[in-house]
Amino acid sequence: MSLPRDIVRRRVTVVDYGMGNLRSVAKYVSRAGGEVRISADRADLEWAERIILPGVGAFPDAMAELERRELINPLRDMVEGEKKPLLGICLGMELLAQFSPEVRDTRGMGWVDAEMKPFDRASMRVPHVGWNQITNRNPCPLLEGVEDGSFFYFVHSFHMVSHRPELVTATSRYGHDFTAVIQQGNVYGTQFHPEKSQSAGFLLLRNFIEKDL
Amino acid sequence: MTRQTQPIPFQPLGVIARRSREMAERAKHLEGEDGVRRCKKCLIPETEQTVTFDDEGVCNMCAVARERDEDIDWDARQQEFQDIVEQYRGKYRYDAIVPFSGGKDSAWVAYTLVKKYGLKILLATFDSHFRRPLHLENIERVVRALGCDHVTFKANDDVIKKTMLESLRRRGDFCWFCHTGVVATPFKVALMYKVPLIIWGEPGTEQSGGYYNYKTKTPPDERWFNRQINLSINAEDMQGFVDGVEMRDLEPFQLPPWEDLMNMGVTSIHLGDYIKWNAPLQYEILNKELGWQMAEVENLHPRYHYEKVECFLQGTRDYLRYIKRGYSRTVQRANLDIRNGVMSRDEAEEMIHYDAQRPASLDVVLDYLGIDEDEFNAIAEDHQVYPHVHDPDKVRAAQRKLDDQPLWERLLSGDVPSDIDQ
Amino acid sequence: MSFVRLIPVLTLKDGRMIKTIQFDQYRDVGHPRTMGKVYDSQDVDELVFLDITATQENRAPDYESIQMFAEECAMPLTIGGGVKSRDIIRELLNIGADKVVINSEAVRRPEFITEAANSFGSQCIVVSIDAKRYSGSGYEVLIDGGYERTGLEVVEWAKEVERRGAGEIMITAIDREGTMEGYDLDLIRSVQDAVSIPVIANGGAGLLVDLLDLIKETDATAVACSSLFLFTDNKPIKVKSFLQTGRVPVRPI
Repeated sequence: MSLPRDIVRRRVTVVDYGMGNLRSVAKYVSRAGGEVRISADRADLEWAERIILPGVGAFPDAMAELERRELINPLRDMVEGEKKPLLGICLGMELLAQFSPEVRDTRGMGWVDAEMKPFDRASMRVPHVGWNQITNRNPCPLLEGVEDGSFFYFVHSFHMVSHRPELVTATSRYGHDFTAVIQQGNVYGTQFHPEKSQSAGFLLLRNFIEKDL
Repeated sequence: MTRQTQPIPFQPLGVIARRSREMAERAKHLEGEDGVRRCKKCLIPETEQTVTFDDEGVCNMCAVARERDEDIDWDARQQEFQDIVEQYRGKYRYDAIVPFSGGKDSAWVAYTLVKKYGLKILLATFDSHFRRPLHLENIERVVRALGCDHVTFKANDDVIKKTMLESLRRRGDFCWFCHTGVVATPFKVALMYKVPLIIWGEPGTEQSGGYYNYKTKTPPDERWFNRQINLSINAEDMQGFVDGVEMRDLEPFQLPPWEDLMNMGVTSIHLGDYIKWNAPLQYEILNKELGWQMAEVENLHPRYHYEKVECFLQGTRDYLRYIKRGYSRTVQRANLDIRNGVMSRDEAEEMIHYDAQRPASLDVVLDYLGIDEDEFNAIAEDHQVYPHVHDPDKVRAAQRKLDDQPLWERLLSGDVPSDIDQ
Repeated sequence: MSFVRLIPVLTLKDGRMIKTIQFDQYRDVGHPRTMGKVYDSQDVDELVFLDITATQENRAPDYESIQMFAEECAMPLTIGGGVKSRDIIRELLNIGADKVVINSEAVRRPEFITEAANSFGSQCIVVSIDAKRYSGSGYEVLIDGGYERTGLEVVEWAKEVERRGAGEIMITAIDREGTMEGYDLDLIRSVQDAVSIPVIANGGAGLLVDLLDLIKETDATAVACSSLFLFTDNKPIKVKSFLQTGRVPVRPI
């Protein structure tokens, strides 16, 4: 249970662009202490103190949907302008990158100095599906209390590669080490699904909500 | 698929009892005389809920005890507790809600909070329905001595009886109503009186070391309720199991919505995660300063008669556990002594026969539930945990009844004594 | 690192969770929302949730009850019952499924397996096979909740299912399920030997040692149980503790 805190709950908006298991994420965030809205409206992004970008599906479809729902500019304003903490989950993390080759080369939001690369289908089963363990690489408030070797649930065919190792908060291993958690400034990303990862996922979401970031 | 439109009522299949006996020979080849692996340090068998063994054959409960002694900074924990308390002192109608059975543990919490921390607390009790006279005396003495306000909720006998039978059949444990009522009540009281701080007692880490440990603490929240407390049954589930019962009847056993508690800013903690528990010492202090007293408890070695004095059915409850798992409360308490270096494993082994007793209270329970002993045994044996097989030859009938047994026989008999001349 | 996955199977009928015996008689086991809370608290690796009368009643799965359950579960969910079209799959994925189960429709229209795998990824598609033993003819596949015989031999069908693109197979021994008499090791072994995709073994667990036997004697990597959790005091945490003691690699509690 949480330590004493003000009764006012942190305001969190889960971005609704039609992709991703929004209700699962929202419900888990609520259990972790947040007051949650699921929305694509600028007003709700402005209301929020924290923004979560979920995502399941293909990169170009996701960017197209964000465009179609006119979310790109509001998100840029919140993240780049007002520096609100934003957490990208799974495909949502991938969208933080500069670029992905999935289906066709597509630009991402570019908030993290990284790009997406595919797992090698010739040498391993793709996608990477299942529980896997992480290793902490750089300190990050989201992973406080999450020990090395903690299990999270992964489902993905692409992984994030950055030439700046200090951004890589934690890695996991599938054939080779790959980025599991990344942070650049007020932007965070988890390749795994914290809302599917039981107590470790809960702790991470609670850190995102409760800690001063 | 079935063309049936109605579910059938639950009855144990008898399969587990039979298969356990069939498997008994096989298990004997694996480990020890009865095929049940035990910890090398203490006496806990593998049949306990969350036991695991390390490569040396030492159990995770022993590991938890070592963690308690070597890895936890109890001074820092105490400071943490102080900090929590100061955040709530004087701000609400009560500083804290204290879930209060009146047993040694909750009496200790109340005593500590009032005498050591000077808090104004509200005691919240769920009447566990078979509370013994000496226990009620203990409550009177403690509550008066500490000067606390106190609320008690008693659920109705009809519903309790129905749920007792149902949870006995499904889980081999008739105490579902009490496990759930005891936890639901303080949360409701907290909401009712708008008091966000709830302070529970012993986290039970060493009895059930696999669910939580001292490092993680045992947060008494909705997850804990479902993980460890309610036998994996909620009131909404039970409503479909028993006839003639609506949700209103089961509401005493239902947690209030966790959202409501979160919106109140609930902080729910175990005192035992912040202040190291020491059962014998606590008893001594409670006895000397508040007059809290031991009582004879069935199936329990007398040195532990400060534990479990609350409930008349305790002996039968522990006997059930013996049939299911092959050990019960005396050995469980002895294990704590072994881990604290107060007793050797050999000395503890001498006490095993306390667990292997058919308590006199069983007759009262059977009468109350309206089943006979064969059915009771059949149900219990259908809940045996592999690889344990119950051996009735090892069980002795108790030589005596508890002092209050005649009282319960009178109360539960259904006879209506009248003062009015016929 | 590969762990043995422990997978509870829960079944829904008329808005309540129930448990059948050999797909016939059934008992009420609880409410979808509260059972979701219970299983969420138990460190299970993933969970299978089936609306078992959807096909028989010729309707889509009961999304409302499924959502009640799924909302409480912070774990991977495999959901099925009446899955006949990609729209249904899409809807299930939207309300919390990570994988979906296809059973009767896969037999009626095997190309549906391929369509689904192509649209959603094979890792998303589990084909469930219910098999019953008939004297003289081995194991036959049954559909519609065990009500209709198909004439298909189980191993042949399993191979076909893999060929068509399923990501996993769940194999249930109808004669064993709900009886707590132990797994049908012959059936499970025969299916596992025939395919290279993961096989979830289901039907018959009653004693803790049944899972150990299953794993040691068939190299099963995914073990499902139902009655064991519903009618005994053995929780998933207890089962994992037992397997750990038996030196089976499981994701730690």
